[in-house]
Amino acid sequence: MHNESSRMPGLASQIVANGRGKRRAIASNSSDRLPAFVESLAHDLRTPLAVIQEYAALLRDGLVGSLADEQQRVLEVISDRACDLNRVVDNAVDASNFATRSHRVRGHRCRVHDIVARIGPQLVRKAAIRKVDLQFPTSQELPDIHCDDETAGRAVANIICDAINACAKDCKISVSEEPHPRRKEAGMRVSVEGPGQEAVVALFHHLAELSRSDLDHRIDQLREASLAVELIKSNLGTLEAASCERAPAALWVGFPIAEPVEVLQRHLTRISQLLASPQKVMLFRAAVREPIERRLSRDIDRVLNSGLGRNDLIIELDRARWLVAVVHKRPSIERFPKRTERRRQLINRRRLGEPLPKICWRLLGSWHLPNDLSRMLATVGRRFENRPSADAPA
Amino acid sequence: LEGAVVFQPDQKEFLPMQKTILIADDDHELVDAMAIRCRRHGLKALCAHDAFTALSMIKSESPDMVCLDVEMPAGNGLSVCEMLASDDECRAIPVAIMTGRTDPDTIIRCHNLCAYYVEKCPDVWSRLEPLLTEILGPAAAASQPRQLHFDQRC
Repeated sequence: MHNESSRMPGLASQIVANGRGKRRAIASNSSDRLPAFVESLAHDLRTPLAVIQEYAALLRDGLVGSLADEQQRVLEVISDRACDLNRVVDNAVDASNFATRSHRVRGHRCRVHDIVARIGPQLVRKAAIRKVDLQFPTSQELPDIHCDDETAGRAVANIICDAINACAKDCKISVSEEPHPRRKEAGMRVSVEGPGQEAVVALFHHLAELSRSDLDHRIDQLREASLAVELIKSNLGTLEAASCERAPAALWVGFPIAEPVEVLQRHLTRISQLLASPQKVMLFRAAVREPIERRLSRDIDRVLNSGLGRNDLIIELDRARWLVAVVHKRPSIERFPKRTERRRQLINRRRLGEPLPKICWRLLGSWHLPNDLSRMLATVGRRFENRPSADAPA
Repeated sequence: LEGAVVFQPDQKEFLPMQKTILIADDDHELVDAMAIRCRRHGLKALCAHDAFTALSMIKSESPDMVCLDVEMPAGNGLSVCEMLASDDECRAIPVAIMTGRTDPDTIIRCHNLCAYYVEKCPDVWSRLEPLLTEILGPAAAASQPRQLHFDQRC
């Protein structure tokens, strides 16, 4: 991003004019500051996009007068394109983070249905404009998954938007929430049938191909499809394309079920592939003694997450217990718990609501990667799986 | 008072006492749109366009909830949040930080302050509405479609 402003004189003059230019100019002077520069730009774009969408929504919802059908259709297009622009902004932020290897995904326990429910409205709107029949069949009850629902949802939305854009009018797209037949995964199966199906088959196979290659091979071409794949992989998820003659094109996007062994295995396997040198893994159990509300549990989860390193992992066992894996060449027993406790005390001094309760730590052991992986997983399985959840209703 | 009712002459009926939300953002148009949505949700919406006004309105009006932008003239929404935390009368007021910033530092700072984080994106209302329902209760006027005008702006 050197001399970014000289390549974009119009933009540069606006930046300087709005008073935030100095900070942004400093950020753009160094490629190390690329994510900060892009984030700053994204921040300034998101507000006008939110205003465009909100005003269109006020008109569309009839809050400022009734509209004719054609006017409604025009507003739908405005909203759809505002969402497209927002996706471009999000993709720019993700691409800059991936390019500088500063992208971090913090997974937590969530539901496939919540992800689909959040991205559904914008996809339905896009499909209606393109006259594509987008359906969400009745969902079945699925186990919780472990992922960052925000980034995972963004990746799935990008893929379905691409599929809608690729297929022709009257094509039928179905997004069903399913468990994986073999793996401990739950996710979405995107099936496409009808005019323009061939283009979608090609897109799905391209995505599946991308998911098998390393990020290093495509770091210079972080486009929308590639970004979606990388976001799914960093959420420990998988992509699979399936198609045959007379059958609809289908793409499976799945994320690990929120079971400690499954999540830990996927994370550490990925870490072993990414890091050439052997690592040591230290496992802790963090717990809160007194019963706590869901929101407070989420806040503790965030405090734990904010102290983790790039390769570390936190798995929510239930509302009051977490499994923390610290991956390092020479991890320290003391460092992480002490640092977290210092942060907790600092936060409680300035916190608006209920203070964060004390977190109790127990070291479960340390293992070498990749040699001791199976022994470590066996230990975790014995200790934490097939036990009643403290989150279950009383 | 919990469960108190107030007579609203224009609606000619008794309604539960309106809860109040303060929306503070330097973008006037966004504040107007959010205020219309909040009123439609059955809330009394107060508006501020800088941190100083927001802070003084919180102290004088004691709203039931506050929705703050991060970057505002005369201060930062997160700093307002910190000031509220140090004030015994205001620290119980729920705060939502509505921002276009998605960097981990901002998000973590929000949660550390016990504030709700709402990303300012094209579907910002669909993210804010569940929070309002959770904190202030379900929409009071949702069953009465009513046309609002932009001259009702703050």
